[in-house]
Amino acid sequence: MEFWVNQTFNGVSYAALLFLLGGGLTLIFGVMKIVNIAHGSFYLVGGYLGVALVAATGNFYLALLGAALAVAAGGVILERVFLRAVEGDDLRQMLLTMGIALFFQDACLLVWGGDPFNLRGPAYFAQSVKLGGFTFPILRLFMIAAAGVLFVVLWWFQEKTRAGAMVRAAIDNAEMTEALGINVPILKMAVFGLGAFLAGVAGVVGSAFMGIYPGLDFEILPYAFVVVIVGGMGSLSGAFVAALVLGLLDNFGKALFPEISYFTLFAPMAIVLAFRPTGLFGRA
Amino acid sequence: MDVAATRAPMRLVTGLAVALVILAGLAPVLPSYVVILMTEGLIYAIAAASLDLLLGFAGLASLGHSAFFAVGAYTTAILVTRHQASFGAALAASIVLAAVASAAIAILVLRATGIYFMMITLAVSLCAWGLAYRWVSLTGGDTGIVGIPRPRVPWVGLASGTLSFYYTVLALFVVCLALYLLLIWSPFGKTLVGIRDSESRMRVLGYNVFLHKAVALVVAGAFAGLAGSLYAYYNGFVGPSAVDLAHSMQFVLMVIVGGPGTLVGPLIGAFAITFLEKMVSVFTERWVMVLAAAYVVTALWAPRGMLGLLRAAR
Amino acid sequence: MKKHLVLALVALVAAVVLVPAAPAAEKPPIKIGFIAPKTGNFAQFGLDMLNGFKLYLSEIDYMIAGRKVELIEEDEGATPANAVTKARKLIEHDKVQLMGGLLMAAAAYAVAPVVQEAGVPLVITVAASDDLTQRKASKYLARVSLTGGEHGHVAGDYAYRKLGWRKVAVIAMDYGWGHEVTGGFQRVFEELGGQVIQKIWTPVITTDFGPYVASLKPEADGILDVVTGAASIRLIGELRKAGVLDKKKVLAAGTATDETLLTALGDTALGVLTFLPWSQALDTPENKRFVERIKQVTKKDYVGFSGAINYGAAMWIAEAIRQVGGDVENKEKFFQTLRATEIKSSPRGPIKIDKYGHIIQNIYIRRVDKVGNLYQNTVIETYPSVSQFWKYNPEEYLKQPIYSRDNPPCRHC
Repeated sequence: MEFWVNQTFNGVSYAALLFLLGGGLTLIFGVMKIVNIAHGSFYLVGGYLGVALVAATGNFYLALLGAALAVAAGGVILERVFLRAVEGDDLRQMLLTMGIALFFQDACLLVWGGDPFNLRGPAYFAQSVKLGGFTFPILRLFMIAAAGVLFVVLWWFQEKTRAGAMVRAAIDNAEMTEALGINVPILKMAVFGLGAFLAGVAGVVGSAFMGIYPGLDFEILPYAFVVVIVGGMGSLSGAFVAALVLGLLDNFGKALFPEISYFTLFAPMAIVLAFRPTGLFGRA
Repeated sequence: MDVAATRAPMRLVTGLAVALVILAGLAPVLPSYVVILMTEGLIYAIAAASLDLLLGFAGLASLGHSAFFAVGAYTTAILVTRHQASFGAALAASIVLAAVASAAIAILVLRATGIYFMMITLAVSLCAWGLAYRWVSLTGGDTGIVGIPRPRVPWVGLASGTLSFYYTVLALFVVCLALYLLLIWSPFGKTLVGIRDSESRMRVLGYNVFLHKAVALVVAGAFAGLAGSLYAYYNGFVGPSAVDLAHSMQFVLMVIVGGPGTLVGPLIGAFAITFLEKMVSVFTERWVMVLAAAYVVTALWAPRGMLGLLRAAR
Repeated sequence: MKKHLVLALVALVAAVVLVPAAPAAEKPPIKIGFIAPKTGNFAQFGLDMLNGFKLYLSEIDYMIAGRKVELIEEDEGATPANAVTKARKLIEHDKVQLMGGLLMAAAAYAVAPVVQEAGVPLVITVAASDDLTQRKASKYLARVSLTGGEHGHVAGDYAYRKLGWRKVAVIAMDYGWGHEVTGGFQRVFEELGGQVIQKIWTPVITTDFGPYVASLKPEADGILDVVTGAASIRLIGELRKAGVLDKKKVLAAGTATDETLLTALGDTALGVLTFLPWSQALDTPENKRFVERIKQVTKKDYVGFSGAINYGAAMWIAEAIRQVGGDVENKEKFFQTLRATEIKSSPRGPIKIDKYGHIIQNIYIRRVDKVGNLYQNTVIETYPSVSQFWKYNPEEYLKQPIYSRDNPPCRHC
């Protein structure tokens, strides 16, 4: 019993991290149809900024907000200056974002050096809650809460607000949306900024959970891709469900059959795509 | 829109012949490190051009190409170190096994298109890495397989191992190049371009789209296997890094940097990236920045890659 | 004043007479190639290696036995293939007389045959994998760093005799270092009468150790941890949060609490026991001097072990060059001397080489403590002059296959 409760809880909290990683990417994917290789860099820069801001302000939540906003601003600039120039050409977008990713990789190494950092959250992050004989670390609870809150807010935004309706329209058919008089370029810039914001949040929360060091950008990128692809590009609920399924699958796969732990994330992805080439919730 | 190659084959062939003469003639007078890097450039050129068959001609942007490359590399490593296979036998077996692997993967991945194709091949690549890493009895795990001696090919009057191996690779490169050209000028090549431009139209015209794509994948896989085999000989060892995502990505970048759908572009891209990485790093620690700048500049100002040849703007 | 003039004149005459007589000054510089990662995931590690190595060379003004030393640095990058290409460059293009460095074991295995063929001595200053100096030992290779089995043996002995453990659960990274430390541990520990009751192999990239920590068997007396680098922060953090560290002791391979990780580990690692051939807190005059000097270079409170062992490597190489009078061109003699060279004191302690090419050195048991505001690996026990073969007969030892996931097999799991 303890085993199942613990592992389920671990799996759900891991899923929360996966959702934070993939949520931003799925928005960018859906609206802009680009393979953003620099998404991992947004995470990395967010994490490092978070560490610096925690050191400077001593307040985790301030650092979280500050780092995420800074990354979002950076994303907006990148979209305006660079990505717009290669719009509609997925291969050049890939090349460009790869260049950007390499730039940030080396820049972070220059600025912060190569020793790993651990982002210190509030003191209670190190504690646990005891409930009915089970122990739940607060940091993991926080991750679940953060992912949950962000999902609800984003879902509400996308489904219930006018701006969200525009985003949905742009995901389905960009030209039609443009014809309806919606300023799609501004919309894309905003969405890219939002995606970068989420990656920044993931960077800060993720760094509190697993530390931050050079190379993490390309380490986490496949995980973000998995969530987006299994969930279906542009589908927030898809990403949510995919993160949950994959988080639990990965966790129980590792706990019960450690032999296959190299395949617990990517084999499901290949299988899902083989049978549903547009992901679980994707539209063709 | 057709490839430049079909319009001016004579000019292309002349250009390539001149380039090859230069590549062959210069080697003995160049510093040995440059020859080493040229060897690597040629091997990557074979692999990048094979990916271009998929990416540029058939519109299949595969992020899993290193898997087939690695099948070739591991096959050679295993046959040479454990069964004392000859150069020819190892090469042939690598090509065949890589082709077989591509055929198997083709069935799995070909239903997906566009970005989804990219992603499912990415998943394949990550699983292949897992296999290379975990199947220790076959692959040697994380340390891989070491001690693959350079093939002994009797080039008249050549003592230097580096130079002799370079000419071996160059000869095979010429063979591959000729085959690539025949392939893209053949009706098969033209059909692939047709599929890339409009799959539905080709389907209406009665072409078996799936079969064409599958054959393209197998052929590209076979060439990648050959490149992988040479790579094993080149490095003297094979490890899981041959099949990791970065490696797959590198092939794709070589094609894009050079100019997809041009065949010649990826050859240039392969050389450019190899030299950017391994030559610039001799002079500065910040070579990653240089590489990053090169990618950004190419993406922004060379829309059709370094070759700048025709490519249908999407 | 006059006295000074006379002295200066004498010095001048002496210089004119003596300098042409010293043929060493005529000789071209000794070229040493050094391969270490300067980019990619292990960049800092590589830079630390270079910092340590170059610190010693700068202390002797890059002069050994009257010859200038030219150090040619090459970036190992993140893949072994890179290291091979750079090794070829150093051999064929720069014509180095000695090659040093190498971090990744896979890179070392790949480079060794290339170097062997060219007959250039290779001194591995970090890469740890048993067979480099055991079943695949090669003539021109020497290693002055550490290896997995060697460390596992010590840990097995310590766990059984000093910690009194009888049942152990192992959590180790699924690659050479993890397999070999675990294998060495298991062999010694079980021969003494202990039992390894669980072995968990974690992939090198593990973002969440939660599932593994939760499945550790509760009946274990203690835990052997062979997880290194940034992943170590996650594992030790998880062990702390899950309450495991409050209940039992953790014995870890020393790289898990390397000084470069101590800030990030923070309080979570307090009390963790580790084993490694060095510690920043090692209380010897030689080490204190080294730590002080390297801090001036790096401007950091914490000094990683890679800097320290590379400093020692440079000392040892320089000593060998001195003993051949700078005549590195005589490859056979130089290499024989290199292997026979001993150093009585270096930051980590004495250094000498066994006949298979691996270092014989002290291994220290350390405990993570907090002293003032800083964390440190306090040395609590010393295993002096440890051989890579432990107390076994080398020939007998080498007849067994290398330690791996399933060797020794887990009989009590």
